[in-house]
Amino acid sequence: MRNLFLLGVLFLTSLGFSQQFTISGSITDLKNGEDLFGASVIVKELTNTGAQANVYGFYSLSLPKGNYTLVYRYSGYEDVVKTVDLIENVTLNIELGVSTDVQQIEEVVISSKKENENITSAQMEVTRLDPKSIETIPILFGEQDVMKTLQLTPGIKGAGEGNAGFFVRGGGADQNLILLDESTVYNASHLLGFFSVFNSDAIKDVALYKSGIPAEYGGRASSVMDVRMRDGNNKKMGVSGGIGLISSRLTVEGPIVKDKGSFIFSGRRSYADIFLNFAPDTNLRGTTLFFYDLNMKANYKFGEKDRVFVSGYFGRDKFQLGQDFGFDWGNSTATVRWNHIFSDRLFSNTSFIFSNFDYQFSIGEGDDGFGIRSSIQDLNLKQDFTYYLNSNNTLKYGFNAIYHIFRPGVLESGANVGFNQIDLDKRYAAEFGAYVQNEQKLSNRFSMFYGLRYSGFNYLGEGTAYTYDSDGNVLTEQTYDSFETIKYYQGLEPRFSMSYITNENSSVKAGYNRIFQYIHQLSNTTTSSPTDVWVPSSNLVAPQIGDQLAIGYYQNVKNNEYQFSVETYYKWLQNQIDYKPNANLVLNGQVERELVYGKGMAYGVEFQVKKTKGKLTGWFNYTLSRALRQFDDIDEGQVFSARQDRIHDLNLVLTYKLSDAWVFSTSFVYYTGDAVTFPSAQYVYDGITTPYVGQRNGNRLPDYHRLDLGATWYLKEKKRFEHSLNFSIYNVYGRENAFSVRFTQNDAGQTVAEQTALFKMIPAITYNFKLK
Amino acid sequence: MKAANYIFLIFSFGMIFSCTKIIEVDVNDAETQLVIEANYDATNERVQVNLSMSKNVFSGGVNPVITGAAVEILDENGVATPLVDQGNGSYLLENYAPTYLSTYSMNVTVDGVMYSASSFLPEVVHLDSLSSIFTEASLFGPEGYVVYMNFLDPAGVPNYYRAVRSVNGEVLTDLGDQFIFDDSFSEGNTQTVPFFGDRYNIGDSVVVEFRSYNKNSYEYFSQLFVLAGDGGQSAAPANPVSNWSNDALGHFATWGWDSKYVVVVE
Repeated sequence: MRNLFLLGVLFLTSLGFSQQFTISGSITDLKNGEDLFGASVIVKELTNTGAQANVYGFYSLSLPKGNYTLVYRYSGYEDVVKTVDLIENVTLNIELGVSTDVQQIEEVVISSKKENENITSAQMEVTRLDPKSIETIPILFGEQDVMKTLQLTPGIKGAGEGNAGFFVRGGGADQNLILLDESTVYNASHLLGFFSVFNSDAIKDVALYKSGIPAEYGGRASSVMDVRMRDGNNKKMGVSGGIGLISSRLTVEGPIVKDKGSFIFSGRRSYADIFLNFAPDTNLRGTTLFFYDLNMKANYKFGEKDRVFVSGYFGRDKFQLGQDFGFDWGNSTATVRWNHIFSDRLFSNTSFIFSNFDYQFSIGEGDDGFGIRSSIQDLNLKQDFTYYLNSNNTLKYGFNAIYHIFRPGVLESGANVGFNQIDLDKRYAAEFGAYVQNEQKLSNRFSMFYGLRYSGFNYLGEGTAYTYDSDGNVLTEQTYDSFETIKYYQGLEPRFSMSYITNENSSVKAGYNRIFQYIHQLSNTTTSSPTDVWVPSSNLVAPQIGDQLAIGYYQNVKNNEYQFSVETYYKWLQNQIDYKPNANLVLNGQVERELVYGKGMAYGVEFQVKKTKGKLTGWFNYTLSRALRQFDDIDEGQVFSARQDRIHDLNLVLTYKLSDAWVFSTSFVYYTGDAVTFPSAQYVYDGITTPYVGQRNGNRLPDYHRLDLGATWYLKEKKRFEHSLNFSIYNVYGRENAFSVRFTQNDAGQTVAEQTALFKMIPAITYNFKLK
Repeated sequence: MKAANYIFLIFSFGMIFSCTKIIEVDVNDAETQLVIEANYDATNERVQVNLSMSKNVFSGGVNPVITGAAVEILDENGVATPLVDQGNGSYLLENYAPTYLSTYSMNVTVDGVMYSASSFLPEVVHLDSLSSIFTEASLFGPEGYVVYMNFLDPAGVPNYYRAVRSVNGEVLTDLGDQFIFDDSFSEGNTQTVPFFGDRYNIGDSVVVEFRSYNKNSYEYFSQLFVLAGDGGQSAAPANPVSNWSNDALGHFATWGWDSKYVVVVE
């Protein structure tokens, strides 16, 4: 670690710089004071010179002494132009207002914050969404959802209906780092995957990194989904909300002290169980089935240099069938952040983060019942610095340390059940990361970032470490005291991304990243479940390692109205995990003996066309890709398809603004059916017709396709009130997409393949309002 | 708050349903394989082996049986006793007295290829009684009587059980009626284990054959029932691990049982 910092210092001093002055400050929204992450300042007199506001709205730009015209710009907002005579360091806090004559924001469906940022930024394509811009896109049950919309973008594939997970470029569902205000969200789903935990009303921005992942992120092998909560309006109070088919939302926000601090409180609750009262099965009536989310955040500026944020999320699903069966699960996170501006060039953020995910289920009650609980908990300290060295170099460095507590399972049993009380040993681990990264502009055409992350993982006592023979019998066991190291893993993770601007409207980019993943999610069903367990790397489970190389070409035409891109990638995955036959993952203190290890390969090419301006906006993308796995213990080491090996994947999203009152939208999805394992023979044993399992994932579900339609009616706006109605139809032509295929015997004793589809056509309506 | 002044209209309607249909899918046909189903029911002193072949998934008809094979069982001392070919794929040996806590072997020779397996015969756990308790309707079933098995799980050793029940004289053999469990959550305890999904009426008679399996058989049958039951839903489906040599499918199981019966009364 020490060496790494020395390296950083050396690097700093070697760059050197001439007499320069710094312009720094914040860029915020004129109307509500929200930080405008990604807003840019451009120096008119110098080509390709400028800066961007970071996630806290801070920017810093160092220039030689002189007169400059600065243009502050953010997509959908009016430019602000300032002239400065730069003879000393200056602070310029800028507020941008929404433009009136320029196109309204809802026409920009997915946008980079600067119109041609997709061309100029050194970072490889980041998929970025803000909830406002996707509010018209039709989604199941009309419930706006950033995660569902992300799955319509190239390289990001939903795990299917009824599944919470998503797959990025052939990686596993546990290989996505999902952050909410820097806090890890271990299970991002509600209602078994039909909704994500992200309430759009509380969210400012979502960025998904799938290649060239910056060094500040670590811990998951395939991608980073960085979700930021809104800060709340620091100018005046506001109330907004919505009433939908499945859930309703209410958000209250306002200043704590005007322009100095604000709060936001946003809640959502579903009421799907109301429909169960009409269920034909009388036993289903009276069932409780709902989820809720609470997002809370407050921030306050202590003077010009310090700002403190406190944010929290609490969400839970509850499922109760009378006294017979109860199942509930949820995430809670809390983040305390302190922004400090050490100088006009050095910005610091310190975060203390808490995260918890737990589930419990119970069968029966009292003396006749039993229940199982399990949880994972993180305590995380994170320190990030950004040093704006000069207009050509921005240096980021920092560290974080996470203490993980895994509680694999507790069984509590009533007196009459005859089960023993079981409390599996907790597991402990400390995860470290330290990084340094420089974003450097080498010329007007050539820019890059290069960074290095050191990561370490200390699997700690107290606990018992076992080894097993090939049949899963215990060979050795050794006990460890509290905080004693059982196993230490570490790795160096190079990160790199570059862009070369071939002309004003096109560029070529390339990126490489290596990431170590030290904790793993185990799931041996095809559908995700809250009971999927997280386990640490241990004496037997090695960290997953993901390497990815990606190259892309980007071309904008007609003044950035059309954006074309093609990206290709190759990804190597080491130490992937699969399961022995009949693996038992629930309430198993020795789960390692159920695992087998192998590797993964994924590659593909993604084409995308976006139209970002005009009455008609949207995108079309097509991905040709493979996602493969190879395990010595599966099919004698033959390479096989991962479940998400969808060879062809196509998405079309269009939004048409007919008038100020009406916006229409549609989306179409097509992909190759998931790779699944069908029987390749059958036999009768003990009177039971038994399938003979063939090659792993050697078969395919039928291809998936679906068309959705949506319309949003912006009702007549009053001075202090605006409202709208959103109509949507999911699966317009009623395609019965396979959720599963099972083999069963018909009345004649003949084996047939029976497909289950979850949703035919689902219409929905949502009412949204806002008090201004 | 101003929001309170506004009346919210809720328009919602949904058609939520899942639907099933029979579809055409491609499967990869594997070569047919020998299936050996061998059971030594020590309590009845009866050894029975069924030999058959696997067949393609969508080919109709019954699985072909193998006759004319040589089948023998060997005790711990290597003393071999042949089974008698019944001419219908079944091979039988009766009045074969058991030695509990010993290991038996079996050899099956088909077309000159010998398939071997061995199995440990564990002690039989005593089933004390069956009892029935009235239970309200729930998601698990309508109202009615639930039958419980009462027994003491022997302490200090892992135990594996399979309960086969007969109701009003009829043996339940469907996949959904299979009930196999171990003592991993209940080691050494007095047990009252319900047939949770079943509801009985007053006057019904229920007989339970309470088998004590070894670990290997418990795993084989658990895997078999899971696989046959979920029809390929698992992300990591696998064939049950056979204890036969030469890649034959199936299992050789040795087990004894205790039995009790109850007539449901009010």
